[in-house]
Amino acid sequence: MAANFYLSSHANYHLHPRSALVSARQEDLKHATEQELGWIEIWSGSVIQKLCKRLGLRQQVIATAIVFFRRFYLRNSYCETDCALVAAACCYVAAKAEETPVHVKSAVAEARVVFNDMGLSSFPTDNTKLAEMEFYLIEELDFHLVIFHPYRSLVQLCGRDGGPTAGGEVGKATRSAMLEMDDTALQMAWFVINDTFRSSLCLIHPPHLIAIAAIYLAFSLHPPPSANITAPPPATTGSGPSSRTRRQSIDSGVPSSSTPAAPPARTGPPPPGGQTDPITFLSTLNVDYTLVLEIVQEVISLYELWNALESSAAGTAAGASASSGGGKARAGTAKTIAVKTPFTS
Amino acid sequence: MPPMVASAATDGNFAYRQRRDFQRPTVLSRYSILGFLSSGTYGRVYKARVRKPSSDMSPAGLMGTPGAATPGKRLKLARDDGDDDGELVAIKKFKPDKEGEAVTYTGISQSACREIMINREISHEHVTALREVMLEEKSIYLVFEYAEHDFLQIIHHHSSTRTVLPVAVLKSLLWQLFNGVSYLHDNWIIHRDLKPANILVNSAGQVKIGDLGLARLYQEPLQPLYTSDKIVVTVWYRSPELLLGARHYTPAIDLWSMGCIYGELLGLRPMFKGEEAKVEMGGKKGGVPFQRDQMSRVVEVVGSVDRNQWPTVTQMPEYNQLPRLDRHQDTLQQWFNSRSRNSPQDQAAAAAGFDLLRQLLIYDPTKRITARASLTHQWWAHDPKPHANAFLGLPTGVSYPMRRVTHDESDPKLSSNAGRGTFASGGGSGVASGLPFGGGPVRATKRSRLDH
Ligand SMILES: Nc1ncnc2c1ncn2[C@@H]1O[C@H](COP(=O)(O)OP(=O)(O)OP(=O)(O)O)[C@@H](O)[C@H]1O
Ligand SMILES: [Mg+2]
Repeated sequence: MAANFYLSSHANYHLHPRSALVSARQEDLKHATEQELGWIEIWSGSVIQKLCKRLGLRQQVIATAIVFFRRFYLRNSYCETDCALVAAACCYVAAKAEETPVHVKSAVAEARVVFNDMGLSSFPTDNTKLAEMEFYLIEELDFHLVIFHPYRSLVQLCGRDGGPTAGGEVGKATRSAMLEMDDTALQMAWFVINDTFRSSLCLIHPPHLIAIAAIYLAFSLHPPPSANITAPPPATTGSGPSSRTRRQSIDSGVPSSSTPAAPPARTGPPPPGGQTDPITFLSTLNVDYTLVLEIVQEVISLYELWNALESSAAGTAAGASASSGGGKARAGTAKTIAVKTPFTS
Repeated sequence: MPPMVASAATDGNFAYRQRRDFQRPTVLSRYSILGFLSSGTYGRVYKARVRKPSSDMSPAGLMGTPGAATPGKRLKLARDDGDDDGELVAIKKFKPDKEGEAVTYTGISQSACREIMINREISHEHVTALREVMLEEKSIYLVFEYAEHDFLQIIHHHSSTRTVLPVAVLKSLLWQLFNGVSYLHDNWIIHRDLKPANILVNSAGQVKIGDLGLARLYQEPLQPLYTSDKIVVTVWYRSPELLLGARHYTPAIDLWSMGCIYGELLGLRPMFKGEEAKVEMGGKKGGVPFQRDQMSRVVEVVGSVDRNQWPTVTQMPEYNQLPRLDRHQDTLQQWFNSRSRNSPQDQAAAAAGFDLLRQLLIYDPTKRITARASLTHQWWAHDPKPHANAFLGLPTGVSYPMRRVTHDESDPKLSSNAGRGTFASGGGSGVASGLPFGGGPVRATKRSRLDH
């Protein structure tokens, strides 16, 4: 399990076809549009992130909490449950599952602050309510609490995981080559992964494919100086990262000198030599690139949805918006993306 | 305290909970409880039998005896009690928390959470299998496959009957234990509480590692392991690096415990039986005392710690305690010789058997043998070879006693067999431990009772 994703509960029970996600929303679609449901996904990701940050929890815990939330709502409807309580319980259980537990009192207190700020004053004051929800939550999760995240795949792919592996005989994976990513590109990929948790990608795709898609997007934003390439590997047509992706670099405070890469247009063999250049590297990985591209597309649509949400929030100043800052959404001043580099862990 | 009364108007999850509660089968609808095996501050472990699923389809079931899908109604249970075809299970019930007299939710303990989380991911013939997790009346029930024996009970049997543990049995038990621990380590799991009481053996002579309540995943921890748990491993089985206050530790701590367990199987008493220094709250270093007596017991057999053999020992927080201990030679070989039961013509086998013990009890954790490496140790190649049924090595007619099952009529789970459908609250406090003999020192992290 922990050593092998393919033997984990995550791989064997918690990856679903898209149709499962659609049917999970049947009840909700009677009350809301598809776009609004997409916004709930963004909103819930933001809320969980906010709450976890207030509780001093790390990015990995945030990601686990969001996966719990998504899994819960694969079996339940937003309209029939108390999303705020579920979100808080997800944070509370994720903190335990990731071995950085928080007290139920603090979880309730911080959740009240977060939800009050949003105008939801109904969050219970009673600790037992959250603890009770925890019971139902872990049952809904089939008691599967170990989650694999793209962050680890990312640092493994670029060989930044040289941490202590003492004793773990299988710890050192057999890697032929390592992807060379500068810190900026790595950070970009990390932010893209953060963003994927505003969607349900974690219910569909295994974490390493999401990581590869994030690398693809990151290199599109920041082509490595060494590489003489202009396009990512899987040479299908289709849009490259949109302007939304670029906004990412503005949001996260990473100076972006480059314009987004042109749409993939590579023809011919991969550039010779340089076994660690990103394109060659990505093309040597034994993965299905149609899936990677699918994820890339999804992230781009997510950014479009997110933009729309922000413009509508800016227009109406809706309380339930995910947007915490006012201003022009287009300019991308709205959201603060979790700025946590993978190296400081 | 009044029960929580909520209406759909103020409680957005009211309907949701009702629906879920209705779908949830009760423990007693699936299992008939035979008695309890153990009771501690964490809760209780019951012996139970799986009810035949067909009982729902029986005429009585069709006529309205509630089945799994209709909790809340009372079950007529006595009918099934004599049924002995069902598989045996051990049900570990975590005591619910109480606020005054009312049972309430206060959050699942980290220990229960770990036990659930890890058990739900793993599957190995030498790790006790978790069949299912059940939630009922604010308590968690973990249903495990049943194991009739454990190392502690086997050791006790031989010591009390003044018989030897045959080498063939000892070797099979150890071999299977090493296999299970290798599996855990391969999966980035440190057990952190290996001791004879936690290593179970089923009636087919198969070792089943149990009690993952202190186990944890250690791959890229978000914070050092020491930060989450200041004290791990029952003191007699605690490795020197832990005794010296190591902030970072590795699966090697489990290998030390295995060395102690191997020694205990040979000597039929704990190899390093130190007096545990009590945790002083408010003392220095957050109240974690140096276990001087335990360290002395180790040094008496394995010899004084040599900086040349363990260079990084000087960085251990309690390093300066070492010179204050009496100096001792390494007498492990003599210790082994006086307890080894190899016949004189088995010199090579004995030497190999000793070598494994030696490699497990190496002070420097980086030099200690790993679980994986121990599986290819030469000792296993010598006769007698380890066997998948450890009990094949027992002389004919010899068998180990069965677990003692205790009946306590004040326990609602037991009396419920006579007609009540669900557990009420914990109850039964003040009942003596189900263990027929002392279970050894207490580990500080899971219990508050100190019983020695
Ligand atoms: N699968 C099982 N089959 C038979 N008996 C079991 C099983 N699991 C546990 N037991 C019995 O219950 C006791 C306690 O179980 P366990 O070790 O899992 O709980 P614990 O919380 O660690 O309690 P303790 O602190 O007493 O060790 C065991 O020592 C054993 O006697
Ligand atoms: Mg135990």
